[in-house]
Amino acid sequence: MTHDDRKAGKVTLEDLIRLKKAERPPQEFWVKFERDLRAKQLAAIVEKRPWWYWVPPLMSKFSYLQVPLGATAVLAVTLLTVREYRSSADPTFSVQTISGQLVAQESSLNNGERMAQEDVGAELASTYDSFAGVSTPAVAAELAANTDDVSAAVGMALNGGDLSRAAQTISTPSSRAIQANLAAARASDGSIAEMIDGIHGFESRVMPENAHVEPLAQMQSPSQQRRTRILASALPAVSYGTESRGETRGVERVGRTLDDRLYDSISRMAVGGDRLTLKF
Amino acid sequence: MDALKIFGKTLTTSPERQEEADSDWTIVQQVQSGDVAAFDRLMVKYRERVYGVVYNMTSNREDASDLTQDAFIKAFQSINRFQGQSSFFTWLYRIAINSTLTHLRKNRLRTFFSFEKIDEEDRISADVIEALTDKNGADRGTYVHELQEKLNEAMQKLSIKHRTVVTLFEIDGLSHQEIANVMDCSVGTVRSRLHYAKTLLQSELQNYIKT
Repeated sequence: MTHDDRKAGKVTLEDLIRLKKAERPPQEFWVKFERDLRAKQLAAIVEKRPWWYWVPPLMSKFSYLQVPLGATAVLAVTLLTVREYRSSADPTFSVQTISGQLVAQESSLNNGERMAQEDVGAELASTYDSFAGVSTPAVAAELAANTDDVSAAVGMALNGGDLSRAAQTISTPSSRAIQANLAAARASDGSIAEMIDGIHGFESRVMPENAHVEPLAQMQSPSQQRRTRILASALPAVSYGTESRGETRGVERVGRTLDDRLYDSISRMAVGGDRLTLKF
Repeated sequence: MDALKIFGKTLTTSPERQEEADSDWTIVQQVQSGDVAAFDRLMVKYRERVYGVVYNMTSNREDASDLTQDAFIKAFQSINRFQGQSSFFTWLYRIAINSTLTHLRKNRLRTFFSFEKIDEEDRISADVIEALTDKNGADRGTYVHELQEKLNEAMQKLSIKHRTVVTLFEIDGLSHQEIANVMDCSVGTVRSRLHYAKTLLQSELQNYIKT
């Protein structure tokens, strides 16, 4: 826009924006500006620079190494992660592991496969050997003794024996202690012995494998349901194969009470060497 | 011919600029070799331009003064790292604009403005004000103040980056290439930002534009 255009009253956007250029401070402003700048310069000379002040210039010198260094760091982190994962995934010895193995063996038998007792014993022994390699000699000896028990239990199962009995033959320190306490309780008090003998259910802890049942086969037809309801109300003593809720609850309550009393009695008794201790 | 000159100006650095850059590089080498007082020559040469850019970005006199001083301090502290790959004023502008952008981002919610007075001895501004006040017949002083506020309001509606581009191109007279070097972006980005900013300002200031 020329001077003549402006004289004619034409004003453009650029003219308006350039008005901002005309917004200038007076000369006195620059005297104060220079004084303040000197003071800041002196303060900057005295100012203590932080330790990381020199890092950006140093890093800019080695900027060409950014990609290789980054790739190396990523590779190192990946390798460390994989190594940590592998070391944490090693198998450890436990009774649950042995029981799980036994149940797995039983299911393989049910599918028609048979494994030789020697193969199973050897497999379990190799598991214990690998664990024994990192444990103390005493623990290794204990594990070796248990290996024989496990092999015997597996042999019983393979020869048609009950799996639950096979599991019972596995002797561990805790199971041996419980057995000793039970024997002592039986010997000391006849009523407790009757209670213990009367309790059923400990040997049946291993749940049988559920047979596959069609969902539709489990449903009762409406007429059957009606019949069941009517007969149940009319003849309460007759059982149609399904226990009533009340009966089940009663049995559970009795069982719990007997369990509590048994545990109370065992905790009050202690067997050690040739001594029997009773607490009241 | 005028159009060609303008077009050429937007693309490349002019010979005057190149000469200016060479003389600046000589002074910088003196400072780097130990002549600290030579830095004052650079400071006196560029202080008004740097202040103008920072003031138009912040619309606040006190902030503009502080930020300009900080820019010169940072340039003085880092003068040994300047290797002459760009011109000194591009390097100085970049320091000043980055400091201002950081300051504006930190104080985004603060909207306190303080304006400098319009220097009516400037011929362009005197003509514009005369053209506007003659038409409206309003009191000159009041009208100029109102115009300043309206201009500032329109500029504040732009984003920081758009405002910077408009300031550097329209107010400071830099070329597209020089603005791209200062803002570390491409020439195309500079052009698109400028176009968008002008469109917005056009709609905001349409009452004052008379073609």
